[in-house]
Amino acid sequence: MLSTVFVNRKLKYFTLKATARSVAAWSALITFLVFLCLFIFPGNALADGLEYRLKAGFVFNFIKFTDFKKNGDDITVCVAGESPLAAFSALNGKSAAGKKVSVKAVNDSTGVSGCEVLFVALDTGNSEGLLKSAGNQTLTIGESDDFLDKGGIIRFFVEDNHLRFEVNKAALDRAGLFMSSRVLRLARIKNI
Amino acid sequence: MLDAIRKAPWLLIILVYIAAGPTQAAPGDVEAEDLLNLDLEELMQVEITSVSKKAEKLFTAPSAIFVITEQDIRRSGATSIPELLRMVPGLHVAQIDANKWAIASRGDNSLFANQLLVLIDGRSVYTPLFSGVFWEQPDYPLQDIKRIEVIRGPGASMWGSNAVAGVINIITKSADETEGTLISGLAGSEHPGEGTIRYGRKLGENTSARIYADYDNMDDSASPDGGDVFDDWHATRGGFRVDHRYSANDHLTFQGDIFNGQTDFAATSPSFTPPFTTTFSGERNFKGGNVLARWEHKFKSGSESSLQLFYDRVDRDEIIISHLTETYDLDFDHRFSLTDWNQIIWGVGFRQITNEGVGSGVMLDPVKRTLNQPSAFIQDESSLLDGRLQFQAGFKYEHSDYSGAEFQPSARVSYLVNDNLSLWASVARAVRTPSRVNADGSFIISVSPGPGGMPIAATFTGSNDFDSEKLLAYEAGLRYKPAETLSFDLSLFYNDYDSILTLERGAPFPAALPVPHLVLPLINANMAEAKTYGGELVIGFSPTEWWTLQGSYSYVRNDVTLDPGSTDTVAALQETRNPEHKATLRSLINLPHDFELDSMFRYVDSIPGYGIESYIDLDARLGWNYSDELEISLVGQNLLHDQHAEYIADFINVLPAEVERSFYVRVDYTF
Repeated sequence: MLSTVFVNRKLKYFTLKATARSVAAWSALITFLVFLCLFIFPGNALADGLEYRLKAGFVFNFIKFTDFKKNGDDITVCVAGESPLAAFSALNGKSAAGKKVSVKAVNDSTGVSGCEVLFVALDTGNSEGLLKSAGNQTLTIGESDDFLDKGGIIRFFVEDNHLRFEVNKAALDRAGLFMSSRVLRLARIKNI
Repeated sequence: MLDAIRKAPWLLIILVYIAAGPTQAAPGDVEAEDLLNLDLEELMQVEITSVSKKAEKLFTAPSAIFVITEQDIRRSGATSIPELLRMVPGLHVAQIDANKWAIASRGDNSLFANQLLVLIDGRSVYTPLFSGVFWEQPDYPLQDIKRIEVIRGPGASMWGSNAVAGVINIITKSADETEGTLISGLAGSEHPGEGTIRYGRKLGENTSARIYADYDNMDDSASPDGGDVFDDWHATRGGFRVDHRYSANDHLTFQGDIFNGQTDFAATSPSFTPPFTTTFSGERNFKGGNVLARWEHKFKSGSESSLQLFYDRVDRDEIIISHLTETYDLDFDHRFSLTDWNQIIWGVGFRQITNEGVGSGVMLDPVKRTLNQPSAFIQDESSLLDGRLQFQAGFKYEHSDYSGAEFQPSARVSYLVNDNLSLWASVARAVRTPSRVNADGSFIISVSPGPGGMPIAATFTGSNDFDSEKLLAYEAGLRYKPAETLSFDLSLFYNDYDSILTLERGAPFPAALPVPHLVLPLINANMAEAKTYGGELVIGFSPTEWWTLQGSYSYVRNDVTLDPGSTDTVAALQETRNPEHKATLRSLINLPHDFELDSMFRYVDSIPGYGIESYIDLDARLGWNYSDELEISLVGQNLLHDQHAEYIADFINVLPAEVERSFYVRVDYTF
C-alpha cells in the first residue's frame, strides 16, 4: 500500500487540493467515523484495579533497581492473595533491566521457595507463615499496617491519595539484597 | 474505493482505523502496561482516585503549562525537537526550509524569534547574536528525552531575561534509566538515512553512564515550482551522561555533547548593481559542544539545593557571518520551608558570554564582546486552606551589560475549587534584553536606485541606546475534569508590551565602497508598543482505555502602535505574520497485537503578511512493538499536501521553500 502511495506521489497522479469544501467534507467524515468507532467498540469501564496496577508498576521498578545477588537472569514474582493477581499478570514475560520476570500465584507457605519477590496482599490469611518460609534472599513486599514489624522489607501505604512506600533497611540488609539509592531516596526508611 | 484512495491516500489511515478496530484489545492489560512504563517518580505522582498519568500538580499549576511525555515523544513520529513541538498549544511552529524553523509562543514569530527561552537540562541554548535559537543545532536523541515542559507566558521571575513569551524545558533521562543498548535507524523520502546508537551501563553500585552517537540527515525541500531548494543538511552528534547517587540525599550529574553539522544555503542578497539583488549559495557549518555538572543535595531538614556549572561553545559559519560563542554559567538554588505551609526558593547565578563574529553580510562592532550577567532570584510559595489556595510571589534581578539592571517580578495564585475544578491567575513582568545584533550589528536590508543613479542602501543599524523590550503579562486559566476520561484546560492572556523594537530612519550619509552609494541607516530603537491577547484551550478525552484523544485550539492577535515621531515600517509587520487561529487533534490508539496507530491533524490559519494560505495537515504513525526489544514505526508526515509553504524568513532572503509529504520507516532495537 505504501509503495502505491510512493509511486503515485512520484508520478503526480493525484493532486489533492485542500479546498475548504473538501476539507470540511473530510472532517465531517472523520468525525462520523470516530464516533462510529466509539459506538462499535465501547471500552470497558475503568477497572477498580488501578491501585494494584500501580503497585505492579512499583514492583517492576523495584526489580529494575535491586541486585538480587544471584546467578541467572530470571526473576520470579510470587503473588499471595487473589485481588492483585490480574494486575500483576501484566508483569509476566516482561524484562526489567535484562531480568526476565515471571509471575506465579502462591497461596500457602510451601510454594514460596524460589521466589525472588514475594507480594503479600491484604486478603492473604497467613502472611506471617509466608514471610517465615520466604527464602533468605526474597524481597518481601506487603500492604498491611504491621507488615514491616512482621519482618517484611517493603510496605505500600497511601498518603494524600498517592501511593507511597517504606523500606525496612535493616531487613533489606539482612536479606542480603542491594537496592539502588534511586529507589531508597523516594522511600520512607525504617530500621526494624 | 481505489480511486478514492488514490485521491486521498490518507483515507487508508481511516480505513485502518475501521478495519483494525481494536476488538481484541484487552483494555486492562493495556492500561497496566502503560503503568509499567512509568518510573517511580511518575508512579508516585499518580493519584489513586484518578487514572491521570500526568503529575497531579499540573492540575493546580498557576501558569499555562503543557508537558510532552515520553509516550507522546515515542508516538509522535517526530524526527526532531521542532517537529515534536508542533503538538503544543499556543506555540506556532513553522518550517521555513529543510534546516530553518520559526518557533514562537503567543505571537511575534520569525526566523529570529527572540522571546522564547529554551533549556536542555538547565542549559540555555539560545544564541546571544539575536537572542533566538538556531533550531537545527540543539537536537538530542528523542529516545533519551524524558519529557519536555512548555510554559506559555513569562517565566522570567525564575528563569531570567528572554523567558518572555515562553519557556521550553527539555529534560533528558538520567543515566540509570538508559542502561542497555539502543540501536535506531530511520530512512524515508525526506530522510536518506539517520541513526542513533546509545549504550548505557552501571559503573558501580550507585553510578550509571551512557554514551550516544546520532546522525541526522534531511533532504532538500521543494521550491514552489516543484524543484529542489538548495537546503539539505546533515549533522553528527555525540555525548554522554553520568549519574552518581553518592547517597540517598546526593545526586551528581555530569554530562556533555558535541555536534558538527553542515547545511546547504541559498539566498538572495542586496547588491549595488541592477537588479540590486544577487543570488548566492554555499555551505553553512555549525559545530560545538558543552559540558555540564550538577550536584543536587537534600538536607536532613528536608530542604533541597542544587549547584550547576556549565560551559557551552558554539562555532557557526553562516556565510554572511561566522561567529563563535562561549558561555560559562554557574547557578545555585535552594528550596526550604519556613512553616509547613510556606516554602522559599532562592538562587544566585553568574553567566559570562563571549561572542566574536566576523562577516561579509552582517558586521559586528566591536567584533568581540564579553558580557557578564550576574543574577539572583527569590520566590515564596504559600499553600493555604488545606493546600487548596496556592500563592507564589517572587522576582529575579539580573544585570545586562547592554541594558543595566533588570527587575522581573511575578505574582501567581491558584485555587482548587473542588477535585474537578481549579482556577489560576497571574501577573508578571519580563524583559527581552538587547541582543548582539541590536546593539552592535549592521547589515544591508535592501538596495534601491536613488536620485542621480546613486544606489541607496537601507541598513539595519544596531545601537547601544537600544534598551530592553518590556512585557507586562496578565494571565488567567481554569482546569476542569468533569470525568476521569475528560479534561479541559483553558488559558487566557493579555500581554502589554512596551519599548518594542523599531527601526528608525537616521540621516543618510555617503559611502565609497564597494561603489559610491548612500547609506540610509535604520537604527534600532524602542519606539513602539504592542498588545497581544488570546488564549488556548486543550481538551483531553480518553473514550476507552485503548484510545486517547487530545484537541487544542489557540488564538492570538497582535496590535502594534508606533510612538509619535517614529519612522518605523517594520514593527507593525508582526501583526500579519502570525496565524490567528491554530488547532490540533491528536489521537493515540492501542491496537491488538501490540500495534499502535497515532495521528495528529493540525490546522494553521493563513499568514497574510507572507501570503501563506491556511492549511490542514496530518502526521500519522503506525507502530508495532514486536517485542520488548524491537519497535518498528511507519510514519507519514504532512500527508494532506504534495507540498506547501509554512513560513518565510525575514531579513535573510532565503529561497522560498515548501514542506513536502514524506514517509519514513524507523526501527528501534533495545537490548
